[in-house]
Amino acid sequence: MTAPAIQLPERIDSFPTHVIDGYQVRAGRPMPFGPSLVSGGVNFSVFSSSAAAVSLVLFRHGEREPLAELPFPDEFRIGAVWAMTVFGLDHEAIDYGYRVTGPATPGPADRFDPSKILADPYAKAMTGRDVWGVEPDWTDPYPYRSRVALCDFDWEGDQPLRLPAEDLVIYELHVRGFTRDLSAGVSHPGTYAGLIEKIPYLKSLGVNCVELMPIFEFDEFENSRLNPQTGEQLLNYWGYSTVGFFAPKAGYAATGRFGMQVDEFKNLVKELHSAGIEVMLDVVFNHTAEGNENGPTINFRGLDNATYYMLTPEGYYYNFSGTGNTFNCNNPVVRDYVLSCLRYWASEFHIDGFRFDLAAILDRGQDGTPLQNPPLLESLSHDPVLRDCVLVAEAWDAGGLYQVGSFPNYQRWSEWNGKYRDTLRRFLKGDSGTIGELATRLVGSPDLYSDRGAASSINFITCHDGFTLADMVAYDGKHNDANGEDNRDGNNDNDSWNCGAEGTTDDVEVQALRQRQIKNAMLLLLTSQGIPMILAGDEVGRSQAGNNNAYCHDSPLTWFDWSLVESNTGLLRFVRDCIAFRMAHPVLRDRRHPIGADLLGTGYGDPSWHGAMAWSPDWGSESRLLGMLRAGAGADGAQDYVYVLTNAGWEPQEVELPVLPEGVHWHVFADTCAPEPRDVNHPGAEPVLNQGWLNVGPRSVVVLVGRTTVAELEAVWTADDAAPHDGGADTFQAEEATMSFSTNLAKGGRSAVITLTGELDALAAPALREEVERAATGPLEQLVLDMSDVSYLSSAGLRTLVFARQKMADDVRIVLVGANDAVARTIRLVGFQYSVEFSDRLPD
Amino acid sequence: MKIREVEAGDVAALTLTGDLDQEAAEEIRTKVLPLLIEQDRVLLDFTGVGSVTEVGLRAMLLLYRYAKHVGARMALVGVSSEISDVLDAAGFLHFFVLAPDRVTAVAELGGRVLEGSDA
Repeated sequence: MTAPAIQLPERIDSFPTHVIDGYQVRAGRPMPFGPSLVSGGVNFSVFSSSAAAVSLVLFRHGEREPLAELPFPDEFRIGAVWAMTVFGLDHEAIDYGYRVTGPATPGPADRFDPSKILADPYAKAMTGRDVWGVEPDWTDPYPYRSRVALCDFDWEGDQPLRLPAEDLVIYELHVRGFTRDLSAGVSHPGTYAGLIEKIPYLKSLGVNCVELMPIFEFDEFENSRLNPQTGEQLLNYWGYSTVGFFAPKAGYAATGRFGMQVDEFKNLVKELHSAGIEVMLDVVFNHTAEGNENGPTINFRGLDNATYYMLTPEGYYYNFSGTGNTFNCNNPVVRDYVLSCLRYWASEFHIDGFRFDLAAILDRGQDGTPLQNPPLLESLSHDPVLRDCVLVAEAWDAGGLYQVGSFPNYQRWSEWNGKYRDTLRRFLKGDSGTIGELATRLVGSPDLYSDRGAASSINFITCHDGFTLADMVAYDGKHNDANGEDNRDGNNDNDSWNCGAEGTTDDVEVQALRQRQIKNAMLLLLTSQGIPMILAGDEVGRSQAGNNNAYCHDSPLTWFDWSLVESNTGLLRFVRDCIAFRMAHPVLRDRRHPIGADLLGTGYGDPSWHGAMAWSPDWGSESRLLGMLRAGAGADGAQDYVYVLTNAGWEPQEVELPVLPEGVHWHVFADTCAPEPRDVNHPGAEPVLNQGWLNVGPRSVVVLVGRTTVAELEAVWTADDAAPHDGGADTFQAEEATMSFSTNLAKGGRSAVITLTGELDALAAPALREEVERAATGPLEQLVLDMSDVSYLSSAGLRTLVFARQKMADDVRIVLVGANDAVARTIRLVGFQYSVEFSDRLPD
Repeated sequence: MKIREVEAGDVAALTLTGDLDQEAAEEIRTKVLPLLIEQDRVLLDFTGVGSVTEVGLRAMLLLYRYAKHVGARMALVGVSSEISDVLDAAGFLHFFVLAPDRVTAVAELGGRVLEGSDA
């Protein structure tokens, strides 16, 4: 590339005033920082409060030696900002960086190094680690390079989803690990594009928010090493060490080697949004990849060390992050940087929310002291661009600050509720003295969040950091030898229990107990008030062989093994139904904490607490049994009752159930002690429980739903170990057919359409059943029931719909087309609308 | 890269021959973009395209944006799996009509195949 020939600029303000190193330039605009396209050229603006000289260094993309080096004339500096517009630059063909020279007499905090080329903290794309895992050229003088990216993505009308926060079900995943394993069967494994191919799975699971572990540019080869025992290559797989805060990680893009990671990531967001799934980013502003005094000079250190980092008076790095340095977030310049960054992601990438890693650091002042009113958090809380974004704090840091429940929140922030995790784990493994706190955690931790509302509590039992759920019930202690640090790393306080044998075992009783404990955890998590978060893979029992700190493994140890989706269908089905149940019961998702009052005239306070005897909870330290009755408005506005009964003890218990109002009966949604597939029932299709008591198995959770008997379902719940009950075979009466009924089945591709005409009642039901069975014979993606000409739906007809739901695999959509108001109302009355989809017209 | 006009019914058609690189990107800017203003249906025959580079792919992105802006439809003939994979992952493959040969492409664009033409 040669400097372009003189051309007449299109605008009068784009006349160059200088020629530097062959390039026509003029004094730039100081704001915004970073590169921006202006008429005829690119404006570069960079901050350094004490630099003596700054040059813009240009490279042909990927070349080792610079193409040109343009020193900023001193008259191009305004205050502490160096700005220059370069004309005629083919920004698609270049990489750029800065060379910064410090003052002749450096201060104790200065770490200028003019031998290095620095990346732009505002670079919108970075190159140098374009393809994951490709061994870098360690001699490259400029390994992390800045690139210019355009803001011209075609969003086709997409916007952030703005789902009510209390309705979220968060799914925490690692972009690469989710589809890297060959079992994923995607065409672009381990990438943003690969994740798009798994959106149907996320939809069928029912989650509506993915929380992506760090996707800001980082270097997987940072601190890379070989395991001294096994020789295995260890990498920074998790990526909690940011190199470029404005740049999506190129190595996560199938198109990274073509520099199209920005487009590919935006396309992922667009596709997730169109599936109704929000995108939350795990962001790491507590430290950077530059490490401590011995770390590399990448960007901030060489530009303005004293501004960007918290330093001791002697110029050493404070280490509240446990990783070497601490980002100086409450310095006004750095605060502005963080805010600009988040605004960029919210506006340019349509991100719906952010989870802040070690967020307690964000309220430390410049000397490390926690602030009462930290300016950064105040700015984020009230920022106009971020107004609709969910803000979530990991409210602790590695310097000893623990602020769960006390994080400076401005009525705006949610928190990873570490106390929820700890309490649930202790209860589940049978610890004594947990019942009282368990009750508080199940209703959204009002002890911590009464002033902010239940959506402030992000409830989780597992996350990327620590055991997976399957390991939590299979290991008493961590097994981190594969990390190459002699099992010293990772947390020792796991509150885990191996159920009788450490690790893999052939003991079927232990295996069964583990499976039940996993279900217990999922069922409690998904019936707790607050926002639940599931760690990807826990819904199919993914193990990491007892490793509770697998940050350095890019291997099957950490990758999602998709064969589990086939081999652990029982658990997957259980979790799907738990999520659907949560969606069907708004009382579990209320933003307001329940206060024990009967606000809706249900006749019952919400919540009420129970023990072996109804209305008599046992809060004693040796109690391991708790019944929680939630009473409130259902999705259809009618009264809704949910009873969560949990027994963490090792003996079964006979439990008296609270009596429901006249005409309302308990139905069994889930019983973790019942054998599959009767451990869980589709929401809306729960069988009735014709008894006023229940035998609750050891270490199990039962969830009941109270419903009127209109359009009662015929199935009656029985447990293998339950005492005989009154049969209940006649809980419905067959109706008489009053009108002829006909069906017609048409199959095309992976879609089957059954057209129904007439009244769908007891006489008509067998015909529909036959059609459903015929439709189910081939591979199907959706079963469409055209109900435009169905005038009436009886209970027997409804049962046939339930039958259809049970007959079809979980991932087969059932679409009801043109259901009239009466028919739709009948379906809603029993809550079955969450198991099917309604549509106004037939699909193409 | 050589860009050459060919007959393809009543649809404007160009064949591209050579590597999709920096030079090709400039050719595309100067020869294809103006065509998109004059024609609302454009066919590009990629059968003769060899290797691709980042800048070449970005030229494809530019074509996509531009065609969308002016409301033109574009068909690509004989695109290699390497190129279509990247365009797919980046999320804009669906904008182009993809066809195995020119006749199909012309039909897909709703054009008329003329008697005796090589399309």
